[in-house]
Amino acid sequence: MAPSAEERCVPVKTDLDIVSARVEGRNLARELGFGTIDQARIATAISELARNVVLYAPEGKVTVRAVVSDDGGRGIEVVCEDNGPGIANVALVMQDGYSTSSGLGMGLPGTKRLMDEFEIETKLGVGTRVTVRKWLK
Amino acid sequence: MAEKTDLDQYKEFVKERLKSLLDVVQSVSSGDFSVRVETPEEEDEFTALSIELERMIDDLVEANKVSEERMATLQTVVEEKERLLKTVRELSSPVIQVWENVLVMPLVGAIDSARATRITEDLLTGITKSQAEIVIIDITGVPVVDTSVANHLIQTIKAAALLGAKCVVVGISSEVAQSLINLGVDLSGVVTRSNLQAGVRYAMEMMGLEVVPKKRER
Amino acid sequence: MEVARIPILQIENYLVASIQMALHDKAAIQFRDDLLERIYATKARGLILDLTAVDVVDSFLARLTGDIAEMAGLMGTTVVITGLQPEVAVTLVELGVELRGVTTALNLEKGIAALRKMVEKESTNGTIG
Repeated sequence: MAPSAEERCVPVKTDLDIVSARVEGRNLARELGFGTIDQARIATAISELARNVVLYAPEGKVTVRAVVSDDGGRGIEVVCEDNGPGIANVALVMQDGYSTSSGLGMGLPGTKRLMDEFEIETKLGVGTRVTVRKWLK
Repeated sequence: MAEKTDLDQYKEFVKERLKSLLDVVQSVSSGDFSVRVETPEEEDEFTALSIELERMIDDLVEANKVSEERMATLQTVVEEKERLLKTVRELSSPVIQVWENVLVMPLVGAIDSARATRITEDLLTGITKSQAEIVIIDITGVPVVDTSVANHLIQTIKAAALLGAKCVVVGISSEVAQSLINLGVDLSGVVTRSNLQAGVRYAMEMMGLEVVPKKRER
Repeated sequence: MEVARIPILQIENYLVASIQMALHDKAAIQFRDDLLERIYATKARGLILDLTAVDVVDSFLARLTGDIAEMAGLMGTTVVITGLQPEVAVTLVELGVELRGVTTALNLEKGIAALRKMVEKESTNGTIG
């Protein structure tokens, strides 16, 4: 997959950054030609991911970029990474209905449903990176 | 000054003829069919090659033309197919306003994930446009209603509810009802009626409307 | 730093609040607190939350909205959410968040009509019971 020139990066530390990140994502999605509903899906996914950074990590960043698939399809890729504690049990966190003790789940299963591709890498004590993609139909 | 030997002259002749043939071959291989092989009148060792090369190039030009014509035809066929598909898609989830604030959405054919998304989007657009408060979803024409279709329907109904529209599903045959129960699908939040007429009656009730025969003129 | 507050209007015995901008978490929480304070102060029977200008509702905002409805309910106030955009509705359903205990209506007009009906019903029940 080849990234194209369009790439925007938003540092995430406070709740204000969550809004900035999803506005950047939505703008790029619109520019790439995604419809209103897909724009909303992408913006919501970014919001969920960025919020996890604010809730669980000292800081992180969200990068959105235009991508081209191997068979020429165009799409958007969102990479959300942080230097948080990492996720001990990914399978558990990916279950619907899972929520941490404070009642706030990580919203990952929902985020996965909103997007076409979902990848998660995490290392305890190092951080987490979630990559999601959506393709233009 | 030494005169050129016969050998040198011959070498030059070969180089020249080869070069002109090579130029042609290079042009053709880079897609330029406009060059022609020059075959000198006087027959020499290269004449046979020249003639064959010319013939080969002619064949290539012909084959290229045929290929381009086929591509054009294929393109037309593909465009036609796209147009048909678009029509089918549009017909597949029509949203019809049958009364003020009441919509009917008849579904015909199989419902997969992609179609379910389109159905939801079309329905929500319809609700927004017509300010509908009741939507009658008729699934009589849906051949297979399994867990996945049922879940898609439930998603659609939930989304419509967020826009303030209540949905009633009609056209569930008793076999389908049975199989859904056996599959353990939770239809508790879904209002159903047997057929379109019953659905319309439900809609009228919800809207607080009543159909009363006209008073006869004396 | 003062967070810009969302205006809360009063129409008859109802409160109407229209969210016109992207709410970050702190502003959303401030908004919820303002709302509950106004409900308590005015003893409003109903509250209309208009989300026409909201283009993204994630799980946090959905949960907050549910909280508002629940807390308002405890104070005897009926909550109606109006103006949810189609793309937001689809996203909410796909995200899998339920807006519990919340009545929704397409727009402000229908929201007020629904509110009136519900509040009337409650008063009738009250006198009979």
